[in-house]
Amino acid sequence: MSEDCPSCDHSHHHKHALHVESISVRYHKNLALEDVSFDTQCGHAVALLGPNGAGKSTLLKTIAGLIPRSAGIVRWRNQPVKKWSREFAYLPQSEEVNWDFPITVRGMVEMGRYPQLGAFKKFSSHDEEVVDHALELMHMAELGHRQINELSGGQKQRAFLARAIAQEAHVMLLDEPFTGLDREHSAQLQQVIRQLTKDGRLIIASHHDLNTAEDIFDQAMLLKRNIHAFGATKDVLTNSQLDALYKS
Amino acid sequence: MRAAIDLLEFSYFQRALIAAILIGFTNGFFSGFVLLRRNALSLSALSHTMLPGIVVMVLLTGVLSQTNAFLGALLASLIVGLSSYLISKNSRIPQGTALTIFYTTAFAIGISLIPKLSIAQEMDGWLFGNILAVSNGDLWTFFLIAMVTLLSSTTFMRPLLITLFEPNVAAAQGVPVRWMNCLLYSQLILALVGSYQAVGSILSIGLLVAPAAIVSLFTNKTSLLFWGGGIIGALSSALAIFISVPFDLPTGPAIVIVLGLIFIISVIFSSRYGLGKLFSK
Repeated sequence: MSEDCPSCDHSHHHKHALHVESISVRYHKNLALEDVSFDTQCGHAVALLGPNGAGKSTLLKTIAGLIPRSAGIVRWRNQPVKKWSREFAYLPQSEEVNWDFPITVRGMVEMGRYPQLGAFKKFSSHDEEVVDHALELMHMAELGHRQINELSGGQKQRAFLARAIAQEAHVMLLDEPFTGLDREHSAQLQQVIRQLTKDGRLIIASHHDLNTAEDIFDQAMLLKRNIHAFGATKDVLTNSQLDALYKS
Repeated sequence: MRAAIDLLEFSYFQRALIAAILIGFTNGFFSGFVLLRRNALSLSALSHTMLPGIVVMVLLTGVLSQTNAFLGALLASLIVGLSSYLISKNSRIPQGTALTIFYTTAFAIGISLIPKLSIAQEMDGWLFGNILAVSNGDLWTFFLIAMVTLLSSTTFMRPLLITLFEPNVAAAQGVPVRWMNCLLYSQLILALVGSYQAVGSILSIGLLVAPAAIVSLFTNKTSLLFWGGGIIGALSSALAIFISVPFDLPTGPAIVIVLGLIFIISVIFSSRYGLGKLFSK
């Protein structure tokens, strides 16, 4: 598996690691995540598995910097991530997005460039190229002029991924990307995720379907407030591990 | 029409026209944010809430100025907004219900206090709008409000848009989402205060909602919502002035009626996003 990070200094691949160290998150008095630690690198696709309310979304949002952690550190490329990193992209659950927003697919992907541009820099031909490239990678070039609600479920996910690519994100945090997709669109998205990890990106996604997890993700984490198991998907998804997670 | 053109010679008419274009453009531009925020109804609550704030401020200071109006409006809307939020958090009353009770109460207090003012006449203009009575000083104020809101919103257009599209994605990109919401909120109040004199506190909502809604029926280009909304706001306000004076109609309502008609026509004929799509199949 390639460990090249996109648009990075290639001599430092081995450093492109994500270290999550002893993260805890509290909602009021409830402990949503407790002492969560794991390490992974670019080039992997990690599935977060666990029952509802296990903290999958919370973990994604915490890594993205959307939820303050009460303890712990996230390190990316050996640097602590204070709150957020431009190299991380968060993709919300489909139902959280206002799909009626009057914007084209291309316009939405262009938004991925805004952090690089700040308030005043002009949208340059380089930015245009990055957007074109992102759309092409996600097989969305033909659909760029469509309003975002004129896309199928799978295309919507790919549009958001294209936006993350335009942002030049290395780490993509996806909340339930496969929910509501039919078999055909699932297969397409699966292929896209494989391609992204092959290009050296790190994908972390919450996932519900235990049957497909092994086909899509090479690493898996069983989560229920704390980590029950983490490692290669085939080692993690054993009957005894799953019984312990879902029946306890 | 001849009569309307003759009116251009009068300075009160010229001032009204300039005011209509300034206010129409600012509010039309801003209606883009209102549309994208999808909170047109709470805007109506906000607008009603602002009235008592302004009245109390005038009672306390004895002066009706745009600054006083802005501060009073801001205070009143903060009090009503925060208390309805706190009540909904700590009781079984939903926030919409609490907000509606508070804003109608606030509006009622405002209306009952107006007769106590020595400048009740003027306050009447703030309720229903009186654009034909604007002074040169007012024009400068409108110009200032237009500049402040347009400059701040074009400067922060990118972070504002990302925030409106999906606040979580915005925050993950490092956008200070809370500050962007505060900015939007204060700009909205400023735009509302500015339009009070033209269309009045109740009808001002129409001017802050309709223009971008009309544009959105024809385009998916987000920036057009703002600039297109501004142009529609300015043109329809100007048109309303030309129609209302010769026909002796009240100007504020005329502006809102013109916008309402344009909206109805657009929604019928927009083949992609209006009712037109029902017939085009």
